[in-house]
Amino acid sequence: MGEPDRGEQFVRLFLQNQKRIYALVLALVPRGADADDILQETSAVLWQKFGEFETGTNFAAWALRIARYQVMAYYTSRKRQRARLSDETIDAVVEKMAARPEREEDRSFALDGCLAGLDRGDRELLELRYRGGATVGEMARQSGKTAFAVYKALNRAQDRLLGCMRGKLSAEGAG
Amino acid sequence: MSEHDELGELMEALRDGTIEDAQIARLDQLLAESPGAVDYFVERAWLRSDLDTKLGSVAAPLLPIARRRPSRRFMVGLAAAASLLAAVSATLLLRPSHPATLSYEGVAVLTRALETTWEGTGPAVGSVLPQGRLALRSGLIQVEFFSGARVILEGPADFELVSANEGRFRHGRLRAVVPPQAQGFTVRTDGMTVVDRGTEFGFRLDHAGDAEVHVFQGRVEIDAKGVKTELPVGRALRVSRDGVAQTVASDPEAFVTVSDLSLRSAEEARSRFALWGGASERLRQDPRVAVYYSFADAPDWSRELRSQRAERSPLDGAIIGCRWAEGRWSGKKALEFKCPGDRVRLQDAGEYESLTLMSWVRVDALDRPFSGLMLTDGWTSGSVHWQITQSGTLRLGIHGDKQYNDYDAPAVFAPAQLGRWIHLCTVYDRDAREVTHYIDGRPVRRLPLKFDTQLRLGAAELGNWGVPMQGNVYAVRNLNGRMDEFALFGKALRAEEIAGLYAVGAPAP
Repeated sequence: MGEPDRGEQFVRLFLQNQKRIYALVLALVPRGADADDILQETSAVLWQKFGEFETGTNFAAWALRIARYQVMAYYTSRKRQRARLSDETIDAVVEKMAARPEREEDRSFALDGCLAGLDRGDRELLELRYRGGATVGEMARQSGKTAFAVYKALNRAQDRLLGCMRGKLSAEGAG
Repeated sequence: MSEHDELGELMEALRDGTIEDAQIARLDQLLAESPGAVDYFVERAWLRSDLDTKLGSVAAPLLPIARRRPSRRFMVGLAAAASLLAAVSATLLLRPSHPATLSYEGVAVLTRALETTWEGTGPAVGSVLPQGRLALRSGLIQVEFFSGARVILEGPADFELVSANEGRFRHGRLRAVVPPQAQGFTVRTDGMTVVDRGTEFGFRLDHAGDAEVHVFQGRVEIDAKGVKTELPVGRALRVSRDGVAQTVASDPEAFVTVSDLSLRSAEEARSRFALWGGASERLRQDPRVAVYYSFADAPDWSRELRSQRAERSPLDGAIIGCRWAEGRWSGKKALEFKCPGDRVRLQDAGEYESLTLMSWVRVDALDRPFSGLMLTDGWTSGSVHWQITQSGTLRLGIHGDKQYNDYDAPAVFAPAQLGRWIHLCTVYDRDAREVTHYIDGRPVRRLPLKFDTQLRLGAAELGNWGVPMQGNVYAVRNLNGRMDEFALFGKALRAEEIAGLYAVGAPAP
């Protein structure tokens, strides 16, 4: 009865790593239908090839490698925009992303606390961007600010969150 | 502009799809040359992924076995994807080589067990049974095949489940009841194949190989070492180990019937219920008990769980949403949690150095990231969160002054454990400096304490998580299942005591 657990094992590993895959793809590809397709294709390929995955080896690294191929295939198929990040850069990102020992729940709790600690302006900005899905251009139009100011505000809000998350996650350590 | 600011701006532009070729080249250059840039890039990408799933409506990588349409937009949140995945993993067997094929992980369900002893550990009543052997030393069980065929097996017996409509019989005594939709139900032995044609029959096989097949209804086809016989109602075929066959009259009394088993199980349940009743009364008197609910003796209209105290107190649980339902035994009550609003609220003023949490629960599905057993409101210093994660882990989360930790017993709830009564117990022992999780009276995981803290319950809930803290919206954590006993002790119970609590409360021995 070893085999029936294989599906369960896949689901567990996939759940543990889906945000990692998401983070990688959305760092390399604009948000939208293409990114959705890459994510979907990646999960399908992961599933199809799961038979080749060796239990006990690094699932995150394996999954990110497959996500990377999907992103590359997308870059190749795309006609309009030629410029893209170099293979070396992408490999460096993939490697770093695979190496982070993140625990989903730690992050979730930390983020709750950090979001609650943000000032109202920062929080509303992030709400608009992440809940509302607004682009920088839309946010600039809506607020009457320049795109430059919106970028700056987005950087500030997210850097504050990052600082707070770093503090919380390192305070709690691996426990 | 600092390099991080520039990096951030380029990342945001990439996200929006407004980034220009020259900016991509600059991004590449920064990542290649600037120290720490890759770290920052990855950290911020991760944060965005957190924000997208926490705040947003954006897709997470979705269940690969879902229908695939390349142009489809997946506006499904992470939680939805996660619960879908877990629901599928809980009920279906996924086969990597055939992504489109889904099948059940079992072939039958164990629906009754009476006075059973097994070789090794046997399955619990309510479990889905996969292919494999049922090695019964003694007692009676009823197995319902997914085809609809029902088999009562009398121990000692050795019966192997081959498929949803076939078994392999090594020895013992069985009665098969086969409804029309399961016609063709087959039992094989070393020398015989018995194919049912919509009937009820008995089959006895001893170790030496002497066999008897009795037909009580309809007819049965028998192939004994190449000799084919069709046996009509009222007849029995005896086949000796050396292949000599003779037909005689069938004897229905020689095999336990479904209704016999049902009556005997009901008697057994009554006596176990009564046995538990005495133990429950003793538990109520135990000075170490901080909160105890027996879920017994409550009228159907009651919206309150009486605690162990004779007088009314804040320890009494206020029932919100839940329905009364049947518990471990017929006549024993349990509280059913189904909807996001369902919960029991209580208030406890105690502070504890050690504690023991114990409950009889029947978890029907793990359809949320967390299914609450007992959680204190919020998540602050002194908080205690006892819950089951979607991957089937039993978890005790403890929040200290500056840190928190999850003490996990992994893989407690496999699909086969859903829908059956299970005894959960977790001990937080400050003196021994460890947390121990027990399942059905047996320790399954021991973990060292990470830090010291004083535990406070205050306002708490069973089966859910109460009152989101100001400014934060938390996911619903309602249990999908039933709870039929709950105790919280202000001390660490010993392993023998927990084994005893399990034994006296088990639905069947």
